[in-house]
Amino acid sequence: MNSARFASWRRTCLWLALALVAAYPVLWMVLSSLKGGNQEIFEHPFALPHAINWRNYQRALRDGNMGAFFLNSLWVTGLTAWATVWLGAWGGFALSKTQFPLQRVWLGLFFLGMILPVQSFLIPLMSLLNTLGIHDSLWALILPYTAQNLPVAVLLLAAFFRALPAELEEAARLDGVGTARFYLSILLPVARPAVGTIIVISCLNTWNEFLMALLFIVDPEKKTLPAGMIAFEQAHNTDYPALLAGLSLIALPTLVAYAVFHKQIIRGVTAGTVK
Amino acid sequence: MTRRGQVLFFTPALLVFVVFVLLPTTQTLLDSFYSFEGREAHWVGGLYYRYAVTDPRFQQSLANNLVYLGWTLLTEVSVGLALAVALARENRLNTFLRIVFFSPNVLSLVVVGLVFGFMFKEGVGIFPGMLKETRALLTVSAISGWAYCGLYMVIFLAGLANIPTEVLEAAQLDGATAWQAFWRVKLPLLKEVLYVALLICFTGAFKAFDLFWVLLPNQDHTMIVSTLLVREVIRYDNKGYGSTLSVILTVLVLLTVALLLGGRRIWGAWTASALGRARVPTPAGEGSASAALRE
Repeated sequence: MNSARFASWRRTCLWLALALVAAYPVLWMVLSSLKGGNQEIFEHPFALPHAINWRNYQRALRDGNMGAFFLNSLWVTGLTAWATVWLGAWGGFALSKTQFPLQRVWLGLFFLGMILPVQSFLIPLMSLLNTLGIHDSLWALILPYTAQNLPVAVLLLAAFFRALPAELEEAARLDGVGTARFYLSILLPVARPAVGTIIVISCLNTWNEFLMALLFIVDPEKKTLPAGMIAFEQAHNTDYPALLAGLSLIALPTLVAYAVFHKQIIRGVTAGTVK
Repeated sequence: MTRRGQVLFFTPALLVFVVFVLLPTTQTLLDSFYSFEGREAHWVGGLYYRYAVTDPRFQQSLANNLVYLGWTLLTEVSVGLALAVALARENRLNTFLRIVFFSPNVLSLVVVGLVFGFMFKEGVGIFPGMLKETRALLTVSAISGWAYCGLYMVIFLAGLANIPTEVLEAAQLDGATAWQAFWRVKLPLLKEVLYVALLICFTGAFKAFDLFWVLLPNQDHTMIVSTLLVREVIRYDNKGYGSTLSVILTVLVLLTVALLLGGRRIWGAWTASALGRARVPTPAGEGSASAALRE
């Protein structure tokens, strides 16, 4: 009995040690972002900061322009998620009807859209954005991001709406509720879990997207966080405390969101894959 | 809902998707047959495709993609599977561990790349020398494993949760060791999610960009196809060849998906017949486990 308890205690300790190793890079980033200088960061990589240096964050915001990038990212992420949910819900609702014309063709196209890598449409998109006159503006990211997130949203919501009982709409129609009102006040509230999933996926994708942001935005004021961070790193590549503060500014919002909504986020990230 | 209403609801999503994804994808295919000089385009047919086949940079990049794929099968999929099997039981410790192991998945790969880049930096870093050309691919695969093994763990956990407990109990009653239960009962029953995992890992290995771009910016020998094509476009303004590389990458991704989806059908039929044959009781207790399966 005692040896069994010892074995289980040892197993717990081993796993917790492994978890600490897995979490170490993030801990190192956040702790180092508060340290006094390069020497303290690299000579005592496992120590806690001697004193909390918020100045590093000030430098990241001032020298690295991370404040502007943060607002850009917030705006792009918010608008992309909002547009993805609305367009996805409309499209998914229409596509869930069995008598929708050419239904299988559209489903196939959106499935193809889910598989296609960004690299498939990256290069012509640059000239298209020029033609549309939105090159080097945040719209040059919002619209492609929305388009890229739409296939999952449409397919997920179409599947969700189709699984709902048909009586729901019939009962509403018998009560004299029009399509628009049925959609707004009955269907969307019912679809809350699926909508939540789509918000999670599109927000994470957009907040972290790098390749399109790197190529579509040249104006240093219009960059989003990941692309802006690369510019910051190239301009101040030895000020590690400030760089790590900048990295923490990108990572902390997603990590805090994950700490609060980890169930929804895990469900959301796997929903697009397991289905 | 009227037909007109349906079309009205559907059009905005389709329009955005067509304009910003489908049309540019088609344009990539067309552009790959042209050479661009300034604003002028000249038809060159399959010239860039023939060039790609003999281009040593492309050959090296594609080979790197494949090596990276091989390593990530180990560092992402296998590690994820091991974690899932180890942490399958529901208790508070396991829930906590799952949350920790999945957490890097929400990070931007730019953050992941720069943090590890600083830790591995020559001269100052804690572990210098990890990004030398000879071992750079392995290091990037390991970092990628750190970032993504949690995703695969979660996928396999979803699959394990779907295995009826009677099947596992039957295997246990028949005296199967944990090792035997894994190979003969759990893994065959994880077939569906294993396909999903392989699909993500294979396509992910071709789509990869961020980590390579951030961690290995000036190394020619560790380029992959996607970093090569971005360099062609940014540095040399060579839209024609860049488009050709895009098309090749797209075809590779689509081909992989087609092969895996086709393979699933064939393997499905094969394992069904294999399970039928395995009814003779063996010391591993496979007979009754498969019998429980068939009920």
